[in-house]
Amino acid sequence: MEDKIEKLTTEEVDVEALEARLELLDPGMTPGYYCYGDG
Amino acid sequence: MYVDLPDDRAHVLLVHGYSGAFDKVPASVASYLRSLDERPPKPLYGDWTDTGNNGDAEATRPSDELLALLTKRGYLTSLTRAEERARFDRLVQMRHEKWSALPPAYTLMPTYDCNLRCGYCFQDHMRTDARYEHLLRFMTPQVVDRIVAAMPAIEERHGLTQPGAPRNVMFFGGEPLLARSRPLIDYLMAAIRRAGPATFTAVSNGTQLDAYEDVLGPEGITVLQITIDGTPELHDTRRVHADGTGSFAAIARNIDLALGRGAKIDVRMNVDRSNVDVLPRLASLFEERGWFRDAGFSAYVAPVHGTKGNLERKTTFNSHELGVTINAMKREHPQLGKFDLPDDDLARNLRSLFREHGDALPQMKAAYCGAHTSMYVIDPFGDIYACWERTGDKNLRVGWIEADGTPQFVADRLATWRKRNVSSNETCGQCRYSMYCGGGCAVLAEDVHGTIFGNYCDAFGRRFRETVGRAYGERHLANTVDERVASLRAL
Repeated sequence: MEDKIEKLTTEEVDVEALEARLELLDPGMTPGYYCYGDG
Repeated sequence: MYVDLPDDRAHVLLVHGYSGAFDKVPASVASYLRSLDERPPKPLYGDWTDTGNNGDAEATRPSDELLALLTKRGYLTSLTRAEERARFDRLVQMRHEKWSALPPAYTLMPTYDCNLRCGYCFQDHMRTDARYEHLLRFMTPQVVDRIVAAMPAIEERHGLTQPGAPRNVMFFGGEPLLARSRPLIDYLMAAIRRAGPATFTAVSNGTQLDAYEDVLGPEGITVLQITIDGTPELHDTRRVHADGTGSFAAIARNIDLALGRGAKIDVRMNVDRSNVDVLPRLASLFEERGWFRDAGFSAYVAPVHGTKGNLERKTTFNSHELGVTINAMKREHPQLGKFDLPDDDLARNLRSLFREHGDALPQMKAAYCGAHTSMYVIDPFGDIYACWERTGDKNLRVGWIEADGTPQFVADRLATWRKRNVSSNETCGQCRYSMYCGGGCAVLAEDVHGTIFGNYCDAFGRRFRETVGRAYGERHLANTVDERVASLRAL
């Protein structure tokens, strides 16, 4: 069986180190969303 | 989450709900993970399902080395469900607190009045029902002074004690850029600028922009969102003046004028089943007017949602239906590719992520929108709201500004809005898509559940899987939408 993984996002992903990475995250880096306002 | 790849049944994209991992694995590995799932995905939480065509491969235990990697990236865990939930809640809280510490986004409403009478507008009753007549006044210079005086105290709530980046001010209404409001807007912009640097954007119907010609552009109002609902004939039946006349011609002239001044124009098209068919002709019309060749021009479609009980579900699309419908139409009408669809921002972000092997954490949302973080919507009376869809009713205001410029807040009401995130309601807290969705619009969730602490899925799970699969296949395509335009859509 083919037994490999191709990581599409950063190598740094480690679920045990998430809190430390979130602490360092630039707060200005926020995702977009769109508003439903039908005005 | 398991994402099928449209042209590759031998592999599946795995996406972890909060670790930031996106990984391409053999379908057999995905099947192995599915076989360990304690709670097989089912359409339990809201409207989503977690189906996938490539999950029927035979499950085979991966090597120890791969199992370790799958554990590191979050897909396998030895935590109990309660421990996993506690970790999720902690991460959501951290993300939410960071986002909430951003500088305030000010949405200022010079008036609730508007010169148009659009049947689907969530504020239309304010102009047509005499019981709301008291709202149709204009902000006074005294209220402007109070708002400007209140800004430092509002910013202090977000940890800002020194002047920093320019203040973000968006004009919203009613119609904020009525010709008769020009002196008021001049006063507002001057007063805000005296207090520090600021950037100005507006959501306008565009009908009277000619009265603002000299303040449109990079040094004034930089970006305008303007709605066009179809070809001139159709638009003029939907976006009508109070006397019943149409508005297309004036809007089109004013878009030419604003683009000529260097302003960015982002056209929004509110689409339902009655106007979707005219979009190809509308795209051709935009092309003929030369708008698509202007780097300052962009256009996007948004579904009309029935938030007032006056729109029947059979006349509207959800975001997934709208995307599917327009993508199908593109085969015969490729010019529709010039219009942004609801998930195109997500697709752009994902393409960049895949191209650069980037970090997905910045893409993840603890909450849906600025109503839950740092948006302050201030109406003509100096009343403060968290969301513009809930303005005009003092019983819903989250605060107000005193005559001396002191902002006062209704603590529990503000806290209610600001604490809505994907762990503060049970449905989103158990949904694996929630940190890419944000929980959906609070107002629409309230319509469904009677509380903002509920989910509004809008078919997000399906949209997410399809968008991830498509973005992976198109990861080498360039991104084109201007950042400032994207940020206006994101307010």
